[in-house]
Amino acid sequence: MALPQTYGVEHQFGPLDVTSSFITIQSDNLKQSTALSVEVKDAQGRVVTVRKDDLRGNLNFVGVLKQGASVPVAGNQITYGGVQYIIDDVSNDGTNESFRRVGLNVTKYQEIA
Amino acid sequence: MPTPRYSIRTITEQSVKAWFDANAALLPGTPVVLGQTDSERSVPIIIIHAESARGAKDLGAYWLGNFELTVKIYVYSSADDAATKGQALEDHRARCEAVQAIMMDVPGLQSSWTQGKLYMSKFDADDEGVADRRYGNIMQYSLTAVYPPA
Repeated sequence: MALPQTYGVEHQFGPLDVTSSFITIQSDNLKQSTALSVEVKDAQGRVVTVRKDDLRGNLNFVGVLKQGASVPVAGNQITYGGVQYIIDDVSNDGTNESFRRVGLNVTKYQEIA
Repeated sequence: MPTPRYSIRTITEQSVKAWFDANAALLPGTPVVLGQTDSERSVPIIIIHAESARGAKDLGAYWLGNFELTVKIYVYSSADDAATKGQALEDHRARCEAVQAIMMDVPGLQSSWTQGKLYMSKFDADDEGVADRRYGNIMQYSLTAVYPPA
């Protein structure tokens, strides 16, 4: 006889950081990659060794702009989830039936604090 | 540790009521009851009803004890309340404001969750009506919660 499920598996809910001063964060998207990827191939051209280095963290987060708040400027630094990023670009979108949405694409370079 | 219950709706109703009980000072003279009970009903009254529960859609076929719930909180008052006649509507609206204030404190509600965890509570609607000289509001919330771990 099947037993009733009485327990749950907890998952992470929502954006990593909801403490932004200028927007109410709606969503985020984090990616990590390496900027360096060196491959060594054998005589047949098959990859036999890979060296990946120089971690690069790319983050996009979007939120609704708070009244009177200043939108960050591209090229400046910003902290998200306790990590300091450099702002690549900023989008600032509005329509006549919704709140203004601000989105940032930011990058964390391995060797830049 | 409380014994796990088999119904997330029961857990939800009891947890929301626990948070209302912790804030009883905001609702003087107004009993708070759960939706599916045989307790006597008289106005003013607040009824907490976890109307429906669904498996968390983000987890697809394997919801693993994660749920999305629709919770409705009914606030009823009498226009002929002998104690407050003349300001019955004001009192009713004050009760509604208190309910919204209590539910707006999501960290407080999370801390009152009795079993498992409340991820989030979202306000959906506040609908007001009047019938048979009773004022009534229905406040609807969407909650996302999980059973306790094994």
